[in-house]
Order: sequence, then structure tokens, then C-alpha cells
Amino acid sequence: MRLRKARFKQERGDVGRSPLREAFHRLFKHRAAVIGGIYVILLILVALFVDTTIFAKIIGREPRPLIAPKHYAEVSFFERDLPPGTPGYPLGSDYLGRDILSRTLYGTRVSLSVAVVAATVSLVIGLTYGVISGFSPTGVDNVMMRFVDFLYGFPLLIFIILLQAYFKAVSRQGATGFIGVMVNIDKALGGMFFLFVALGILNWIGMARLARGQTLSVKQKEYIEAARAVGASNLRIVFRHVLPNIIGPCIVAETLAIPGYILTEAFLSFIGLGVTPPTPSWGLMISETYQGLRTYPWETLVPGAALATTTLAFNFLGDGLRDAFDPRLRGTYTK
Amino acid sequence: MKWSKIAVLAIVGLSLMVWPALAAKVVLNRNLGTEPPTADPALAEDTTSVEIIENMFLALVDMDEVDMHPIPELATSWDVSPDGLTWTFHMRNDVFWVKYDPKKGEVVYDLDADGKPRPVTAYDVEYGVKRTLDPNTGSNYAYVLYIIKGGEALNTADPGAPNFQELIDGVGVKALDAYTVQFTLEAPAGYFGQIASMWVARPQPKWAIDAYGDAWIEPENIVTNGPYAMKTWVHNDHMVFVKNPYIPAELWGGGNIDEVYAVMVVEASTEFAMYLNNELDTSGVPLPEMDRVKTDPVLSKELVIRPYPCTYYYGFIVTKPPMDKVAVRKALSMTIDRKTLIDQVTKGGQLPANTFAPGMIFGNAALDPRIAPWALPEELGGWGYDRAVTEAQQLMAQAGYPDGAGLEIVLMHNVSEGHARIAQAIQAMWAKAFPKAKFIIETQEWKVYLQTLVKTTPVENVPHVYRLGWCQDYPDENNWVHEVFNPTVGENKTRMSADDPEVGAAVAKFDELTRRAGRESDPEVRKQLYFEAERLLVDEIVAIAPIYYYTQVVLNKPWLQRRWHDTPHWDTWILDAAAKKKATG
Repeated sequence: MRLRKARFKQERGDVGRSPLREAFHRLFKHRAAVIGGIYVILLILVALFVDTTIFAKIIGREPRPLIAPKHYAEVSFFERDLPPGTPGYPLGSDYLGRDILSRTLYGTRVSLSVAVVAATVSLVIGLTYGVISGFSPTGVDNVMMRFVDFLYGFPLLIFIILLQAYFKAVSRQGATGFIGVMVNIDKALGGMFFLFVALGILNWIGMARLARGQTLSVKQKEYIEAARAVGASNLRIVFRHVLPNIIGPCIVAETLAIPGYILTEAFLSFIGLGVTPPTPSWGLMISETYQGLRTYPWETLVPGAALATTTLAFNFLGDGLRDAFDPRLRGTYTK
Repeated sequence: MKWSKIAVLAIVGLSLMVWPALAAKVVLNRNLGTEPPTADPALAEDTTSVEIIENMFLALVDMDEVDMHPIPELATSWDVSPDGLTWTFHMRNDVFWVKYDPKKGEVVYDLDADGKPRPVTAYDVEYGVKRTLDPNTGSNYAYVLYIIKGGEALNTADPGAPNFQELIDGVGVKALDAYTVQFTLEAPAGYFGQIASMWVARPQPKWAIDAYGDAWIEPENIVTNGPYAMKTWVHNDHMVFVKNPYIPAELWGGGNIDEVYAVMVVEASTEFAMYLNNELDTSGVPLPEMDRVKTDPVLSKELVIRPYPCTYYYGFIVTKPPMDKVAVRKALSMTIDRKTLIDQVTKGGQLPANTFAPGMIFGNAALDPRIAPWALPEELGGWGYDRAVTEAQQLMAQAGYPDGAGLEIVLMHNVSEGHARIAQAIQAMWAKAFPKAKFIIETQEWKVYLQTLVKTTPVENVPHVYRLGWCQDYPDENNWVHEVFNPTVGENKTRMSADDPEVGAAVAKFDELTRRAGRESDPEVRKQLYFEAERLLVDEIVAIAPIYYYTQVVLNKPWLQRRWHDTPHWDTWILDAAAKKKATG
């Protein structure tokens, strides 16, 4: 029995694993990527369970802190600027006596929401746009890509700043209708929603270019010709043959773009165009405290370290994914 | 060979003679904090511009640094007619217009067509006042001269009107001869002496302004008459001022500073770092560093905290629901814990404010517990915060918002770290007192913010609560309750009006009181009128929540001895260059 099983395993090995399986195998051998991945998973858990919002929404109660020791807006005027290690304030307190650990933990919510939402929006729009463009006749492709080129000409950051300024003005005027609904969502999310919109609205163009390029190269492959020969419809070809073959590089590119979104959010909050205080965002926490860097360094360094390690973790993960999914790099590393 | 040796000797000898003179030049390093928006006395409206103007242009009178009464400057004496309507200033004849000559590297007389130095005359004063009031100049500060007869008519006129020249001639300022200038006022104003000390009423050089237009304030063009002349102005970087050697000895403040090198560092933390590094002789203190400065053995000795005639306040837009309910406004004002805010957040030794005007203003009622006692702690005769919160919660419940349920209030401030801290602290205080209410903080850049707050902005676009501060232009309540809040002629950003269903009568009374007090000449009566006006504003209409009276928090190197005018007078400062050199190496 034992022998047969071993042989079976050996046989399977000889036959070869599926490309996806092999990619994951390579990913798990990439030590930095594993560390980055574990860190990201931890962050996601923290973001989900930093307080009891999820359960509270179900049973209809006020959320209370779960992982975080305190609520992020709990002010204690007489316990301000305490150094890390003070009882009750493991990472110290800020200038209004708010617990820095709790605020930093709550801050993962903003950063990760931005990362997930902006990445999803950009992936969905960019992939759809790029595949359609790449799969269409040259004329349509040209028009669609010139539009992307046109959008590329926009100074992205300035555009986002203008959008944010506009959204803030709209939300103060108390708009009605569709915009009014958006304003209310934004208020419920502590100013995050418009951040998503502003970030998602232009970030898909890089993805669209990549997806189009990939589609163009895949389109020439023999298996597409074969599928066509047996009479598969365009839709079937796109979903069964093109998408599965280009999704890898696209996801990799998107993962590598995530640190950019997180940093953009931090930057926007830093200049006062991000989330509304007291919702904690790492960028906002840094901007509120950097002037006191000399006297109360922990107030700036803790959110700064959180921002840096998160960016690093996503970069490691993205690197690992790229190595794992990019066939050209297959075998260029060992162990 | 021989000649060259002599030449070398001569050069060495000359430099030895010149060297001590060069070394003895006393330079003050100061941070202006920002690029001054202007150096034009007619246009200045911010403290930075006013500071450089104060040191470059003389006024008819100066203000005493302690009790703010007018003291002679360009005018040696002045007479007031018995009805208080005519003020005649007698000017000295030994002050001349000067400019910095970059070729000679020194300050020189500004010469007229005949090559003679130009004295500062009464005609320059007349021209200066009229230029400030001329609508073509576009001065935002002309309104303080409305007390001069015909001033308002000229300033609000259409420059294309057929009678425009008549309006200019009709302004009540006239040079009787070269050194006597007479003002005719709309109403007897006991505070006109202080107005005459303001930058908008200073003599201005017509020939330079005519020749260079808007560019007359640039260093190659500007002509001044004060203790310092402008040598360099590298925009957004630095300015250099040099001592005017021709100023009469009596008008020199007794200081020893030959040159002022003024940088324009905006970041308070950078300024502080430069001070620690001895690159600045005097500096402010960034808010987060206050605790450290107070406990540091060296810095605590260099720290100076002194009262400053400004008030920090939150205004309520009284036409924007739910702020149209006086109970809501009052409850919000009551639940600002001013003492804790000062001790724990602003930390500059400020005083809790229960009125608009601070202590050194004529007619003020600051810290008088008969007005808004809920704003004051118990040791100052007020209610203390606990009682204030209890009563505020009752008020809020009576207004229909128990625990703040159903309230959604937008608090707006201009972008600044200090304002953000105060806003979040007050947001936390309000949220604690009214747990079911929502308080949203928004920020705008200063210029946008001022545009948002003007009375013509639709009410949907303004916040419920706005932050502003007010600093005196002249130390009289007229400059405070009347010019800032009078519902008909003042700025009145709160939009209170006599039509208000709840407090309309009080607003009408407030309007009438501040007007009457401005025209009254008996100081005692004026004080009573202003007391009542302050009470109406803060305690009955509750158009604003005064938060604290400012202090000036300054670090001063031990080698710099400053006299404390509210606007710095550099000519009164003494810098011990030897001590500085010894300390800095």
C-alpha cells in the first residue's frame, strides 16, 4: 500500500501540477512573500475585528472596541502625551490623551479599505476595459486606447485633490438625489467613501493598458485559433481562454499598486483632504503630531511605522506573486 | 615692487580701520513667519505686514506700550476742538523721506527735483489718508477711517461717478500748512488718537507711488521715513532692513540694532529648530513643544508669556438651523471647558474668555462674572464647568434635542495644526456633553475660508460654527463689538439680524448701543454702553462663544533685550553682540 501510494505521488509529480498550483508552490517558497502575506492577513483580521462593528450591525447594537483597548475618539485631557509603556497606554497617548495603540489599530481600517476598494475598482474597470480594447478590431482599440492616453495626461494627484475638495464642498451643501446618497454614505464611513471614489476613478488606466497588452499577445496563441476553429463564440473565448491566461500578471500588478493607494490616502489625510477627524488614519495621525517630533516622537513614529511596515508587506507579497506568476522568472531563484 | 608693497600696506591698513566698524554692526535675526502680503500702509491688514510697516513708516502718533494712550511721534502736539469733532496735529519738520541706495550700500535722502531732501509733511498725511480711502486703492482696512468726515462716502463711491473729485476733496483731512494737518470727524470719537497711530493713516510718498504704481513697495523703489529702511526683499525667502541714520534722535527707540535679517519660515517647528540652533534671536513656541520649553532649565528662562490684545472665538451662523435656536447656541458655548482647553491643549497661559474684547481694550468687560459666568471657572467667580454642563444639557433638552439627539453640526476652521487641536478638543467636549449629536470638523485654506464666511455666501454653504480670532487695530471697544459684529455696518459674519424671531429685539438693541457708544464722548457712559453690548452679544444673543484671550508666547535669547509693544518696534531692542558671539562661538 505504502509503496503504491508513493509511486502514485511520484507519477503525479511527473505528470506536472497545474500552473496555479505550481505558482502557489513557488510563492510559499518565497520567504519574504510569506512574511508579507502573513502580515497582510493579520492586518485584515485587525481591520475586521478592531471593534465589534460586524456583530453590532447584525444584532443592532452600538459597536464597542474588541482588539483595540479603547475607542479611537476617547479623549482624556489629563492623560495626554504619555510615553509608551504607561499603564493603560501601551504605546503612549497623544495630545488629547487618546490611546495611540487603539488609534493605530483603527487606522488599519482606513488603509486597508482604501487598499481593497481602490484595487478592486481599478482591477474590475481596468481589466474589462483592457480586454475589450485588446479583443476588439483595430479601430475600436485605437479609440479606446487614445482615451486612456488622454487620461494619462491628467496630473493624477492634483485631480484627486480637486475631486476631494469638490466632494467636501458638496457634502457641506447637503445635496439631494444620487449625490445626496453618496454624501450620506461618506458621512457614515467617516469621510472614506469619497476617498475611494477619488482614488478609484483614475487608477484603472494603468491596469487597462496592461490588460490590453496581455490580451493582444494571448490573442495570437494557437489555442485561441483552435477554439475559434471549433466554433467557440467570442464571449466564450474571452472568459474561458483569455481571462484565465492574463489574470495572473494583472493581479500581480494590482498588488504592487496597493502600497501606492495606501500612501496616497495617507498623503491626502496629511494635507487635510482625507478622512474627517477624529476618524484615525495613519496619515492624519502623522500630520497632527509631526510638529512635536522632538518632544513626543512616539506620537508620530507609531503610525509612521505602521504605514511603513504595511507598505513593505504589500510590496513583499507583490514581489513574491510576480516571481510566482511570471513564467520568465521560473527557476531563476532557488530554495 | 615698491608701489605694490605700499598698495598692500594701504589695503591692510584700510581694512584694519574698516574692520572694527564692520564687526560692530549689530544684526538681529528674526522670523516674520510668512511672506508679508504687502508693505503698503494703505493695504496692510495682517500682523506681518503691519510689523514691517511699523518699522519703516512713522505715524502722527505712536501708542504707549503699556496703557495704549497716544504719544507724540511725527506730531509733537495736537488740539481737539471742544465739540470733539476737529483734531489738529502739529508736526515736526526734521523728518525726511529716505531710501536704500544699493550702489552706495547705505541709506540716503530721497531727493526732490531740486536735489534737496524731502521732509515728511502734512501734505503727505493728507495724501495718505485720501489714498487709503480711495476705492481705486482697494484697501480692506479703509473702514477704520470712516469716522473721518466723508470717508465712508468716498470709500463706497463708484470711481466713475461724476462727483468723484468732489468726494475726494470732501474728506475731512486737510493740510493747513506744511506741518499742520487737521481732521474733521463725523462724530466725536475719543479714540481718534489711536486711529491716527494706525498704518492706514500714515503719510505716504505720492511721487514714488505715482512713478512705480503697485511696484513702489519693492526695495529699489520704496521710500520710507521710519527707523528702518528696506534693503532687500527676496520674496518668500527673506528681507533685510537697515537702520535709517537720518531719523531724529527723539524718534529712535533707544535700541542698538543696525540691521534686521528677517526670514520667512512658515513652519513653527522649523522656526523653533532654528532658534535652538542660534539662527534666530527670538522665536515662537510650537504647541507640542510647550511642555518641554516650560520644563527645560535653559528654555524656561528664555520663555516670555504676556497678554496680547486678541480673542479666539467660535462664531455661530444664527440663520442656519439648528443654530437659529438661542438655547442650542448657548448650550454649545457653555460646554466648552475653557480652563481645561487652556491648561491641556493651548498651554500658553491664556485666560478663559467670557466676552469678546480682552482686558486691555477700553470699555472691556473681560472676566466680569456678570456676563456669561458659565464660561469662567469657579476661582474667577464663574460657575465652573460641571455646573455649566448640567445646565447646558437641560437647555439642549428644552430646545428639543435631549442628549443632542438629532443635531448635526459642522464646525469649520482654516487649516492649521493649532486650530485642528482645539477643534478636536472642543468636539470631544461637545460629544461628551451631548452624546447623541454629531459634530463634524471641516477645514479650508485661509483665503477660501474667508470667502466662505462672507455674508453673501448662501447659507447652505456656510458651516454652523466657524473659528476666528480678532486682534485690536486700536484699543477701543468700537473696534470690537461695533466694527466686527454690528448687524448693519459691522462685518457681522454671524448674520444676526433684528428680524430674528427669538433674539430680534436684543439684536436691535445691540445695534443701537454700539452705534451710540461710538458717538458718545463721556468715557463712563461709553463703558456702560459697551458692557451691555458685550452682555447681549455673548450671553443673550449668544452669537459667539468666546474661548480665550490670547497671550504672546515668545522665546528670547538672553542676549536680546526686547521692549514689548504689541507690534514689535525693532528700534527699541538691544542686542548684546559680544554676549551672542561668546555664546555661539
